[in-house]
Amino acid sequence: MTSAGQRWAWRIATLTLALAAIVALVSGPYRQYFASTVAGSRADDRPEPCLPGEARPLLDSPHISQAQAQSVRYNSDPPTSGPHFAFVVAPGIYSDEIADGLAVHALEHGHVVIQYSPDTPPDTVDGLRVVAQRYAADVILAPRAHLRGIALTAWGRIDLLPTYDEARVVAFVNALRGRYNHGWAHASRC
Amino acid sequence: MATSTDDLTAAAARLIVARDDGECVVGRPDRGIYVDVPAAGAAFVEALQAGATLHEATARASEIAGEPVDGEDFVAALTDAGLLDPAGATGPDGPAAPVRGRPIRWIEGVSPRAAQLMFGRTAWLCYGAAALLAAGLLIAYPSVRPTFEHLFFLDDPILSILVYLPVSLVLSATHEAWHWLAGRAIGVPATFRVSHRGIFLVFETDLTQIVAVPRRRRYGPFFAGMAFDVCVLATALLLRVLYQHSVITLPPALYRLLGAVALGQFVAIIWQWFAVFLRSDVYAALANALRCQNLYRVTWLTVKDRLWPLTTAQQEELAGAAPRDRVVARWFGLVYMAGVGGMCWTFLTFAVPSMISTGTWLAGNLSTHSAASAAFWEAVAVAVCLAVFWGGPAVSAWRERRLRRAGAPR
Repeated sequence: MTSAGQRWAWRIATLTLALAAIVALVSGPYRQYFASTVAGSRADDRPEPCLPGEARPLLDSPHISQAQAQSVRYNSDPPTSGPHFAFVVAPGIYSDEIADGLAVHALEHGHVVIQYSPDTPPDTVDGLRVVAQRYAADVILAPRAHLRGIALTAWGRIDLLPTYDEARVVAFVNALRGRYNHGWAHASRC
Repeated sequence: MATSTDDLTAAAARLIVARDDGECVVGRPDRGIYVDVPAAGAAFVEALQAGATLHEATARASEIAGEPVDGEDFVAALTDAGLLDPAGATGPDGPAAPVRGRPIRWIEGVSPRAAQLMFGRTAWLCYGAAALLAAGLLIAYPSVRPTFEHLFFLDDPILSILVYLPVSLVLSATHEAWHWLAGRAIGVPATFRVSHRGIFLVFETDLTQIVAVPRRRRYGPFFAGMAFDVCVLATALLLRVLYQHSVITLPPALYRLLGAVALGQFVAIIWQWFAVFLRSDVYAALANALRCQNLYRVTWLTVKDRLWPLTTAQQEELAGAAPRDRVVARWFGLVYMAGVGGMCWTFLTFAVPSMISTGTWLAGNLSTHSAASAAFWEAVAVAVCLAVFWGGPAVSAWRERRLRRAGAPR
């Protein structure tokens, strides 16, 4: 059995480690992670004109409910940042429209969202599917009501295509996938 | 305490005797009680099982021990340990043991010969190949590495959870079925139950009767669940890689579901290795390799003794534990404490933020939408899922505590 002196030594050591963990939690990277998980990420705008598409100012991006989503106004259509759901959507090909609250969260994870008008010709959709399958870990492909043409979006960035241009789509995906993940993932590329 | 020869023979028939490299264990499977005994004690019980009188069994034990032994005293010790019933206290089958799980009758119908096909040398080579394939795919193809977002594989996150829930239950149950089958392959019956590990709700298979087989034969049942997991993981990853490279065509929803399955199996396998302090499958294999009898309990008592005084009963329990368990528990206690710390860290860094953000979503939907809307009922469904996921372990802990107080074996 443990003596009283040994027991106090064990208690002090355990308490010290527990306190160290708590200090790490409240002062280390976890603090930012916690804030971004609970309240959404924050980052400075990074226009970077050398990249494909156009930059859009970053909006505050808190987590919201479906009820709150009905009153959200984004600064682009489709949105490139802003309030979103706590849930996300996995990369892949979808046959139904993706809610903005999910799509924006996917953008926040560094994914590229490709959306197309419901009246897009089937061969164009097939072409987009081939690209989405090639970049299956990075791209979400879905139709979007009231959209004309094809919209490519990444965090803080958008490119609207009146017609399908595979090279432009691929360039957008290659340049912008993984650029942001609750914060800028790399130094400026321009 | 049983006294007549017939009584003793009938009582001893409920016991099993296991020997392995000089270690002897006498157990009562219906109560889940297993006790280390000297070789003479094992011989004594075997003699009773063979129909010997108390005098004859004592003579046999004395012969093995090389000195006179007190047979009546040993019978009293077995009774005190719960292996034999006190005289007059029992019906023909002894007192009912507290129910710890629900036996699965149909598994008894699987013959050991059929089960052995799944756990022969060829089968284990296949399981090993699946493990290598899964590891290779995860290393070579970062695009298929599981992330938590793969759980949300449908355009409706709530539907994703509700659809994946039964899938994960089937996979968990099959993991346990593989333990059953592997136990069956070496002639060990098993019991299935729902339980908890710390803050996590789990299925588990009670393989306590495995002490009746030599230690080297126990690894199959211990690793069988992970063998199944790794096969599913390798299959899901391979299909996703082939799809990404346009080698095969899959419905997009199936491709995404495979991502959720890969995530679930990956987490399940990682859990088994990192939850060694919570009686995971790897713990069972480790305790077996370290030749321990009840490492988890002795470790818990050792850790408590280091931080807080034990009760008199706990002091006696620790003092009476197998010497090997006490030696291993000295360092395994550190693993246990590190594991508990890691579990708390996981709770604070993953569970708390998730619960806050999900709680915000729930509160917004429940307070704004009417009960006639789909959004309201989606929020209710999420609340129920969260209650089961986080409340289940608490309920399970309470239930097991209640059973322990009622006298159920640990």
